[in-house]
Amino acid sequence: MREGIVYLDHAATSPVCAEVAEHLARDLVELGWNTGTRYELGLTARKALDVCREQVAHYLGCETDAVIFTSGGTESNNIGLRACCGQLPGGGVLWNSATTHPSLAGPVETLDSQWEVVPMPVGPWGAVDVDGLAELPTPDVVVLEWVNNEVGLVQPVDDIAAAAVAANPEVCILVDGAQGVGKLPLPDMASLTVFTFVGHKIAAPAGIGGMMLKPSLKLTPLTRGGGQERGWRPGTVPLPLIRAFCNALEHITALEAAPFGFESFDGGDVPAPIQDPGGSYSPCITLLNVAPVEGEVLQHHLEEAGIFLGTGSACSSAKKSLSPIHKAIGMDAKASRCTVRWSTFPGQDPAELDQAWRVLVKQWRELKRFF
Amino acid sequence: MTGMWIIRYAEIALKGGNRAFFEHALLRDIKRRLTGCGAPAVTRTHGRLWVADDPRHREQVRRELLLLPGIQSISLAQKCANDMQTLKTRGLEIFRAAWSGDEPARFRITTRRADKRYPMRSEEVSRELGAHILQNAPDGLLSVSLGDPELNLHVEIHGEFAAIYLVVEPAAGGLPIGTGGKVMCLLSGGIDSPVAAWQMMRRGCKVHHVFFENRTFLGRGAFDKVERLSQRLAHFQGKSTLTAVPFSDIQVAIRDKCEPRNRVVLYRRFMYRIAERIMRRHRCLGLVTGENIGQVASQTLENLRAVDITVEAPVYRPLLCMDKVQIIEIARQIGTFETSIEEAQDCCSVFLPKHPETRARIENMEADEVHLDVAALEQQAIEAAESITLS
Repeated sequence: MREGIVYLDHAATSPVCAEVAEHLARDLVELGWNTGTRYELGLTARKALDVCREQVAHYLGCETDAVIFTSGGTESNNIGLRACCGQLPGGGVLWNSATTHPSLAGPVETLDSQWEVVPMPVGPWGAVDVDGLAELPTPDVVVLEWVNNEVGLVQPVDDIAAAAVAANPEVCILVDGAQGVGKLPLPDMASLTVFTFVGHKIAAPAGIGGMMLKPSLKLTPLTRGGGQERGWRPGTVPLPLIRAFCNALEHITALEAAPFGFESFDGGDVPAPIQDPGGSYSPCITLLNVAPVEGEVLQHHLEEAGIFLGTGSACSSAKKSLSPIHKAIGMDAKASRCTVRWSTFPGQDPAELDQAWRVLVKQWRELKRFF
Repeated sequence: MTGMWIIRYAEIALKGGNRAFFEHALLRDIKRRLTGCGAPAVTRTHGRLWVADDPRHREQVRRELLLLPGIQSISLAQKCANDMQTLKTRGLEIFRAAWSGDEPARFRITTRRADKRYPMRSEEVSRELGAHILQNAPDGLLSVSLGDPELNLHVEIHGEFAAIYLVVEPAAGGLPIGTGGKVMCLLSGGIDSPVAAWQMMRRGCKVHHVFFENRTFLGRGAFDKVERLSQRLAHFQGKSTLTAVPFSDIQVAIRDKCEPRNRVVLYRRFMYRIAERIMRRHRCLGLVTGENIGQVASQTLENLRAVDITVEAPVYRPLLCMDKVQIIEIARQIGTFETSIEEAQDCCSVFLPKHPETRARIENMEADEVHLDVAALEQQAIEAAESITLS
């Protein structure tokens, strides 16, 4: 990480940590062999790949065969959705989460008309209303995110899976795990069909990700090629990146993700987290209500002080429409603009966070007069 | 037979004694712009420039030439021997390549003799070549039309060779960049100001840029955009500069101390004055803006006057009377449109009044500026300005 800055946008991406980078640099030179070759170098590479697969399977609590490496979360979600829907060529009912990331919402939108896409009911804070699922038509596929990337809300994945399986024991369940892996205790993999993850949210390089994909699924890949990764993700296997992912996973799981308090330090007003007091949230992602100040203005003022965080919804962001989760929790465009997203890495220095919080509050108080 | 681009530059030809200067500038621009397209040979003869055609780079060369100020029109011609027999053979080949041969078509031949010693007159060449083409076409499909031809086969006869072509493509026109002096353009990141800069470049000016940046409130997104826009413009004009002037403090001071309705005009008065001082550093002869009468409520004649009065330098507004559709069309042609429409705010909503003045009175503006330390604010901004060089 660059010296002298406080980085609070880990939900967007985390820079590669020094140890991972060091290993990666060595691997690129020393382990850059094709895992599909039969000479000694290739066999060594293949063995190293097997170790990685076992490590990830062990972490996830799934069969080794179920682990597929991909280029990242978006690819995993696309392959995963195709895998789930591909099991039923005639279409069916898909329970959709109203608040998913575009990497899942996008492929769901392009499903053909044989698929009836049914939104799962959500409560006032965006959490899926598990009791309400009984009212929905029997699902063939369920698509949801584990941890929301914008507000940090943790969906009750186990309960939703149980409700779906109760309705249809053959149901395929796809869970996007990008924002939770390495940071929160995992949901139960046993009832899930696909669980996706990505390296750059855990300080591995961008360009590597993967998924747990039930080995029993009929092969319906997105791309065709040389048959690597059980045919689900053909292409020469990027072993150094996969090892970097495993290193990063090992590194992050040893760290503790502690929530930050967002409390007033002087009795004065401070921005408040936008959270259901009784809800379940990631300790690493918090959306702050900075009204009346626009999030982007606060963001740029903090940038001048070397503090980098995300906006809940940029006033000049390319996305003009309100984000689905903001809509789901009842925000209008103005409320949405008046937010910033504070997202941390497990083990981030509490003193650094405290200092950043004080600067944020001071800036926010000064900026209020402009709005 | 070899392919050649014929480059015409009618307007330069009018420049009498300066002709060699203009031709030299155009030749230099063409060579510079085509270095990335295989650097084809460029030669100058008979009041035209000739660029060797290489099919591998043809489309790229064509795009570059069409957007090169100083070029009136271009044609992709085939060069061949100039005896009548060759003209017939090659002329027919070129004609057939363009005409399907099964649809009726009106055609004509246009001959031009650059070398008047050629044994036949132009009309005689046209008549003989036209007859040859008619004889070799299926009966009744082709007809000669001098006034309204669908296919016009041009034959240019030079001393040693002839050039034959069908299409004359109009290019950007204007004059070679750098032949008209230097100006300083206020670039905002929107659609208009890059087009204004281009219009000045098209008339031979070298354009430097100045950008007023509220980095504290809006971040660096707008600068990034302006940098890419000026980089695109540098593609046409070569080396130029972009100066970013920090503007947050001035906007905050105006917002805090002046009438809300006057803000927009006051911002622009500061921008003009600062731009004029930066302009002098670069030895430019005037300011350029993308202003356009009435396009936004603030660009009324009254407001333009209230801003204009703050500077001695001439302010050129090449888009003043153009329509938005025309401006967008040019922005697309010069390749700035896609960047210009990227979302990046150039003014934060906290600095915009609810009801901006549309009929600014100079005395009101001056009275409002009394609340500010204008000289200090300007000096501070100029000292903190940063310039980058683009090429």
